[in-house]
Amino acid sequence: MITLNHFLTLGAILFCIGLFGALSKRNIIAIMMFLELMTNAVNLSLISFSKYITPITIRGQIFAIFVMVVTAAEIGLGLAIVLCIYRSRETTQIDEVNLLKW
Amino acid sequence: MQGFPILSFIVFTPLIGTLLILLIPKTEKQSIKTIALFAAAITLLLSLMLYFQFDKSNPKIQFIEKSPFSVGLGIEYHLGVDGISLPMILLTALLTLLAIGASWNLENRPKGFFAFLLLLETGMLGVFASLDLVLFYVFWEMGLVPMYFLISIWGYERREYAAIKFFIYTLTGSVVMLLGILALYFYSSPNTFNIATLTKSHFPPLFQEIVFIALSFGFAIKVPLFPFHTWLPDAHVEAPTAGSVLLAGILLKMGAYGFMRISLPILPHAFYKFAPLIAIPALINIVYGAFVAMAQTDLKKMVAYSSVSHMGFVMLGMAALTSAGINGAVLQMFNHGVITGMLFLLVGLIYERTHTREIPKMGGLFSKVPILAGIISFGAFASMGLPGLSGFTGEFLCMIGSFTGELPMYKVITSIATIGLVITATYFLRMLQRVVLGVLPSSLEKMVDLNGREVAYLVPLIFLIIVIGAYPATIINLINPASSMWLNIMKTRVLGG
Amino acid sequence: MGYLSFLPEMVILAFACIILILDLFSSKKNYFFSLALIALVLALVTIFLPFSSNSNSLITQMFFRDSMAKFFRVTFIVAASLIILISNDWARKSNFRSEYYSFILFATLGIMLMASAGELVSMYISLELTSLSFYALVAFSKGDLKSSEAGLKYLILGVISSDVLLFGLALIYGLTGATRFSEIASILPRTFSEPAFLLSLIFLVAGFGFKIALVPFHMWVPDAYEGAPTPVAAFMSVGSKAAAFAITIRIFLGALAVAQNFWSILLPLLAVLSMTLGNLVALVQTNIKRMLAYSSIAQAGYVLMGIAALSAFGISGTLYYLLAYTFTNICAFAAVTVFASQTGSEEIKDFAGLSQRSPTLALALTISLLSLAGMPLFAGFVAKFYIFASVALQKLYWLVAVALINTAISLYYYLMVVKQIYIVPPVSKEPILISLPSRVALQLTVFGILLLGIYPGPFIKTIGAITKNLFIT
Repeated sequence: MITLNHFLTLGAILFCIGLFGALSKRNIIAIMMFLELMTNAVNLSLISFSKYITPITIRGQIFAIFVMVVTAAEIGLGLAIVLCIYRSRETTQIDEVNLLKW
Repeated sequence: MQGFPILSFIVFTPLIGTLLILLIPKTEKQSIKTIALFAAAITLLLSLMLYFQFDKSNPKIQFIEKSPFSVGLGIEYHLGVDGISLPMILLTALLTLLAIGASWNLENRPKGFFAFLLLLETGMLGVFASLDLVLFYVFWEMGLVPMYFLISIWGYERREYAAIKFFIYTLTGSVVMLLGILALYFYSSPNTFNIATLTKSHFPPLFQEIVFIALSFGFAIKVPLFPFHTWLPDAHVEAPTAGSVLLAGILLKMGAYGFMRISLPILPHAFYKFAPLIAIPALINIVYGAFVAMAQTDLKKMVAYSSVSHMGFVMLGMAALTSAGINGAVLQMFNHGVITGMLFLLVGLIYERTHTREIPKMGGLFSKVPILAGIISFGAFASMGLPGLSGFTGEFLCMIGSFTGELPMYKVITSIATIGLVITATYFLRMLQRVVLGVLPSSLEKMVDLNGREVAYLVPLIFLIIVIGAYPATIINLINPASSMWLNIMKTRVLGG
Repeated sequence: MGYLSFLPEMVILAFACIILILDLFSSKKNYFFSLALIALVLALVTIFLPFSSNSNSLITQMFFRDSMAKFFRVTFIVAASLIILISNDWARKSNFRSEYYSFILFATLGIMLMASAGELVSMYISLELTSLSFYALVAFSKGDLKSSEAGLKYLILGVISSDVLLFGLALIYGLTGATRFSEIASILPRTFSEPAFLLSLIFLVAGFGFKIALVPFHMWVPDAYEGAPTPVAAFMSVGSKAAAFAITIRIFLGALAVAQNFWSILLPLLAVLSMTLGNLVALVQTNIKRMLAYSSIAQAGYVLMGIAALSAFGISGTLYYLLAYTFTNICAFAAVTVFASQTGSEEIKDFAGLSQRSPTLALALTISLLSLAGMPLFAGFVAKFYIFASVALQKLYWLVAVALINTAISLYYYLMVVKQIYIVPPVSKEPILISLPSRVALQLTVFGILLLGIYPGPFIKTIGAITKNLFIT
């Protein structure tokens, strides 16, 4: 039988994959995809918490809907900035964007 | 004049002067100088009024002013003077006025210079007048920034290095001092920064010792006590004349004053315990400072190191914990301010005329500029402690005080300290021989003697040196009631309790 | 009728949307500046209207309407108005669009809601509203590669940190089944030693650490500040940081107060790391915005000390510090904005002889830097004193000692800028003119710095009243 723990484990694994990918990928579009993966991993946890712990108030599911909206906005904004950079630099590789260094 | 907040007026008149100067366009050089002179003169007049109204037989703190509204965080606006702080306030007001007189011909950005000078004066007066630890700290720090600018903008060749060194040393010290102040606040019950209230509280010995070390760190750097003295020669030598005068004349006294106003009454146990540990670096100050001064060929550096040596006497007198010693320490603080202030003014005057401070490049001034040479000789004699002049009285009292100190080690220390006196006499006489006597080098043929303005600002100092030398009771009568009271309170609390 | 107490937020939201729409149709752009200012003034007035907030409607359950929320909302509106005033100089030079003002208003709305959030979902959404507005604002100079790059970096790292934070929030929700802070606080004791709870604490600290810019979550700060338009950097350094502190106070001292033993060890550690690293790296900076960025990291460390004190006194110190810091940092950034928009340079060495090119600007910048360094007579001193005192009261003397040493270090690099301004002779004698809005902003901030530094009494009293009932042990 599938329990809450199964969902949470899956969520945690997806989160870790997402985090690893976001930190290790060089292509900005790919990084964006991994960021999505992280968010969706959290959404999965939220929804399964909602299902198993507060099945009546469904707060977690409402939370997840808000998170989805916010993420869509974030990625949209991110892609707009990528486009901005691509127009002038002709690249989407993160390590070629290197004007700022300490 | 009941109710007239004379102390607040004394402390803030220079600040008002600063603000007025800031409002004037920088091209109006003459009015800037006039305002500065007036502000300093009014301050001096007010402090003289304070002196004449002061009840000399009363050892308690007088002219107490408290603001009716709270500043918050337990901080109070709380001013007052007693016999220990009054001479310092008089000295500050006098030396600042003379420093302004000495800088009258300054051409390089006078607006900033006089604004900073007056701001510095407010800071210094505030330190001597405040009875609240935070207020004390605020004024203490307030002097720092103007002094930094005075050195780094109007100083000599290595001014930036000297200014930063001065700043970092003092700031480090005061930051540790703040830690001690905070500890005092939170250990006292009810929590207070009020110095008068804190003197009545009994702190456990270990706590006293820790706080004493923290506070002493800040004070000792300012004095400066060996081994924290290395900022002093740089800062003194590179500062403009007015800066050196105030630095040597007053800023150094703030450290010693802090020991007397805060450490001695509030932390009697720790002070009693650590007094011998102050006496030893004080002795090193006296002897080492004198030897290093003897090795200098730069006139200003020599005077700077002589300050290290003379401040050693202040600390030695204080560390002896005898009535004579503490009276001597305060008297020596006052005298040293007057004498060294005068010596730095003289070095400034010589430099203006010769464009050098190297002793070997000078000579025979007596034949060419007799008034200047005469005053130099007078200053040198005062500084080396010739009986009859004020330098003697302070050092003598300090020596007597420390010789009669309780522990046998003080007799040894005092005996060794006399070496310092001899060396001081040696290097001042050698300086006189090479600068005032001897043959006038051809480069100095066109040298001119002092003009009326220059003599005018030296005369009050000469007058003070003679008066205090002949009749030291003028100052000692002020100091003695307060210092004896604090000493007795301390001894009864440490030994009787 | 709890909705009426949200009138200030509604005003700002309405004006932000109006500006966005008008921008599409209008060819004349210069009145947007006034429109944004009017919005903020209206909002400020409506905050002080006596609307009751006691009703039990949904929205008043999601947001606190207490005096701390009011304090932050007023502070943020004042800060936003100052930012708009100083944006004027920069706006004339660059390839400018009026959406800028609506983004500033959205960001203001975000931080105002953040400071009053009382529930996990509303907190997350207001946090993201703030972050999204700032991502856009950082990347706002469209032709400027540095700006786009800073925006992208900030966005990627920001989203990662938001996700980490969100995971922490999800775990707390999962452990308690509650989302409101007060509910969490009452349910928590039963479960608080779970490993999952520790994990969520770590995630929360990391997430908030990022928003506050604490070491080791600070890597985005210097890049974002340098690349961002200067007024935006100013707003980020005061607004989003203060809001993140507000929410940290609410979550850690409100919702998670029972778990004090677990998270209270982390705070002094992070504070020490932040101030030490921030100050040491600031020493070697040559660009003034990067220097201010590292200095803001160090300042965050000082502020965190107030929370680490775990007392109402400490929180008062934190609030006072944030207020003082708002004026001080905006003043510094305002001076940098004016300077950079006229000379095109942000290098510290180009500030040489500023006192001769513009005495007003030089004085304002000096006052703000000395206040940042915590010199007496300026707001920074009272603020530092307040915080250090609160920490000393908790007998954390070692922390005060580290902070004091850091203060001494920080003074060095602030002083190096002051040295350039007053001591080094100028390269060019060309005077620097200050436009009217910037002049007003500079005067207001300098007045604020001096007021908070010389007569802090009333402010301390007000803040003391705010935090008196806040602290739950």
